[in-house]
Amino acid sequence: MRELWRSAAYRLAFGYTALCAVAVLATGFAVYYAASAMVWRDFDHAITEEVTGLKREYGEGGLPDLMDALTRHARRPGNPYRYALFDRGGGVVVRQSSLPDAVPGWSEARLEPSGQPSWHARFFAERLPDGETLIVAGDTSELDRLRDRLFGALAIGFIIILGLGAAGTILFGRHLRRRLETISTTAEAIMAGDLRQRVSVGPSGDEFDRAGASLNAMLDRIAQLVENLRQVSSDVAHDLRTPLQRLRSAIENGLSGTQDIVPLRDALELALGQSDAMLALFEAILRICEVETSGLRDRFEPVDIAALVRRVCEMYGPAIEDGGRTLACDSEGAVLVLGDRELLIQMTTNLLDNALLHTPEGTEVTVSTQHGGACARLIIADTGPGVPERDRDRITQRFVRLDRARTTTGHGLGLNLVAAITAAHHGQLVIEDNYPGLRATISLPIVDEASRVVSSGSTSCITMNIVDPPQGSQEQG
Amino acid sequence: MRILLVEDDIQTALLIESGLARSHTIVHVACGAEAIASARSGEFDVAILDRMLPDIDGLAVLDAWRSLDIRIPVLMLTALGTVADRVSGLEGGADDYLVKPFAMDELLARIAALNRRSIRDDPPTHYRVGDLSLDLLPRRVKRGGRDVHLQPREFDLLYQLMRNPGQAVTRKMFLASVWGIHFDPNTNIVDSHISRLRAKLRHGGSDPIETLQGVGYRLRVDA
Repeated sequence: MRELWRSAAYRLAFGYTALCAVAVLATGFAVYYAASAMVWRDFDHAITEEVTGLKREYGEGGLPDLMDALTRHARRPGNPYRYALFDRGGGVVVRQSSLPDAVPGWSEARLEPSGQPSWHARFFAERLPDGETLIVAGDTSELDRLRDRLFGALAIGFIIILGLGAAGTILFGRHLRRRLETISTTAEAIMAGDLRQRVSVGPSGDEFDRAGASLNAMLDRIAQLVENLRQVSSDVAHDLRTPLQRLRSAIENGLSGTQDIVPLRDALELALGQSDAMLALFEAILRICEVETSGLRDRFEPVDIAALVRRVCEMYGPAIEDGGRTLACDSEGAVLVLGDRELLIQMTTNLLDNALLHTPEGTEVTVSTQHGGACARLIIADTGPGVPERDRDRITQRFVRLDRARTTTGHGLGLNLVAAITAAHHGQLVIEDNYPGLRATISLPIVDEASRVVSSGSTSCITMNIVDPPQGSQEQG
Repeated sequence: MRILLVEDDIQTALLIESGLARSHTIVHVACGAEAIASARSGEFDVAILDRMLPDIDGLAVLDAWRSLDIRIPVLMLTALGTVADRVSGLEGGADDYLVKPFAMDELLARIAALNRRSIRDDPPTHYRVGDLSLDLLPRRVKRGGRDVHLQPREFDLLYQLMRNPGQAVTRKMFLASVWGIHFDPNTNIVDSHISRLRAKLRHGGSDPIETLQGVGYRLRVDA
């Protein structure tokens, strides 16, 4: 019982049943009292009518007429009343069913006339002008039976309600328990280590199915994040071996070499360079994790992407010029997107870094913004050697570098971060041929400044589904 | 200057001490309670405060100082490097925020800049170093009495140098103060802008900006 009481489902069902029973009881009593009051009133009214009628006979023709009327009435088929008449001294003039003499007004008595069944009488005594007492009585057993029947019906109804309620409680409780148990079973299985378990979702689309579906979506996302984390850990471990090896060798060489200060300094500088390279790698990894997993969107604000691009152009112009390339900027007006200003700058500068790093001198780099409908586009294009089509999907993945010998600097995370930032902004990154060169287009949903929400129809901005955060080694499609 | 170093990791503390000892006096404490008590003496010019302490959060120490009206400039040192951490640190009242691991030169440069900031409650709008002068209102630069026309960002770079004459200003400090970015782009944009600023300032005269290899730049005081 305690076990049942602990179950919220049973408590709920039981409470509901108890409430229903109380409501039925209250309604039953109200009906009973209203009905019986009405029946008694009618009963009394009929008796007083009869008395009035007899008094009228008495008034018109005195005692003989009254006696006549009494005889007539008593013989009338189906007459429900019995009569008695006592003279001034209390002597019996007429008397049916051992009715007693009584004071004027209403009385009730249980009468047991000899040779007849006992009955329950309710009668009205009227003193006539000459001192006689007229009594008209009705049999209330009919009323008593009616009352008993009402009571019975009420009791039966109450018992039925209780019975149905108890059955409902058990069924409802069992149903709730069963539905909830599938969720807790899944949770237990997941806690036991099987992250692939999902709550079974029925076809009806009720609250449980919806809750199950949300839970499953949450579990999918968690599984994705866990997988991401696992991937990052293994990627980092893998990619750190090379610089760690170099760092170790540099220190080892420095220690085992001559006591001369110059080679020692060289070794230390090499070691410092290697640790900086590792730190940069860490920084990049952490940044990507931050973008992919944390609640960045809480801080998003409307950002004018066109102004931001102009700012980045101003920032990068001299460096690109110094690198022997040209930078053209084509971005006018104001285009608002919802985002993090610094991340959007980093996204743009990462693409510019790439354009500078992987192209020969003389390359033209173009940065532009466009907007059409619900969509803002940021395009960074260069006239360099480009990327072969078969590699284009791959280069946004983590640690992918097309330079197999790894002679150029970088750790293969730049474009992955761009993809992660784009995804965090509900955008889409497309890398395609610029004929010649490479062109990266980032589409972002435009935001309505007043409402601070992404404007309706923004889904048309993205041709595919919302881009999932990029994964380490999974194919991007 | 006298620096209060609040850092629970002894090795890190020793390395910071040995890095700063040449030019500063360091007092090291290892926990938050001690930090709150030590700063009350008012003898310190700058505090270096680790975010993660064994007893209380570095932000709580900062809070305690500020509620005790200890107006010491604080550089928060932390292993927490996300944007959210930096924002919470600065909103918590830190004057600067440096993420571990950092270069010792970076720390030195930022401490110097912090101390300078604390001396002036009301920052001036006019700066003069040697024959260079810079006005913030209106934005105008003169060298030897002659106007030098600078691009907006070149002006901002020079402003940072002139606020800290004779002191190193690192690339990270430029990136944060001039462009408002807290990451290091792979392309060295600071150097390119500085070289243009230099060319305009030099214009027949001596070079007032000194390059500190691997660190940043410094404005010559005797320029």
